[in-house]
Amino acid sequence: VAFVVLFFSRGGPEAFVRQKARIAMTAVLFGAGYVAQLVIFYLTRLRPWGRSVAWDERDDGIARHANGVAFIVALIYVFVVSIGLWEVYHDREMVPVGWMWFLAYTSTFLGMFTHAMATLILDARGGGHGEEG
Amino acid sequence: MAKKAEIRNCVRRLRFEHGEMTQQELAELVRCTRQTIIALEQGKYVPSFGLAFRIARVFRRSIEDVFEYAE
Repeated sequence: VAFVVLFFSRGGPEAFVRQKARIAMTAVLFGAGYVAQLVIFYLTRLRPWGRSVAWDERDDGIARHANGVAFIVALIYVFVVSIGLWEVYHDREMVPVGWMWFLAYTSTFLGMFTHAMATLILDARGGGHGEEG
Repeated sequence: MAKKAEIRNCVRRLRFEHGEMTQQELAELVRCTRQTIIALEQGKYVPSFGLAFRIARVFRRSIEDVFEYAE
């Protein structure tokens, strides 16, 4: 949400690439998000202490399915945004390069968000069969 | 609602027959998470052959005694 606000405020995609501070702020924002995700993952699943197993074959299966779902959703998203940009800008025969930042960040975010949601849903549903994949 | 797996098991009953073994204890013995044991007992998850054999071995039963294919 913060990225979308940063991206569309004060001139939108055309101004975004000219303002290095906004690009840097976006990078910091996403960087902090990834670091937080890594810390949460380490604390909840890969903790080195304790006897109990934190990750097993069911988690592998869920992660595999979630990867597939996230990949397809990200593909469809990139396709739809690309066609949308073409639709909007095809008369001018050029697209503001700032949209590349938008596409790069939002597709990454959407892929990871979809992966997280798919993981939660698949986990709640039980995880299916251990022999798949 | 999640579709139930067609392979049934009696892990829950066998746990209680073995000194009321907890899900956590079984999970540690067969090297999986407690969540997997829960999903398995609810019929939402069908384990791999490896895990199925390990579970059967813990209860000193054959795999057919623990898992049943429901047609």
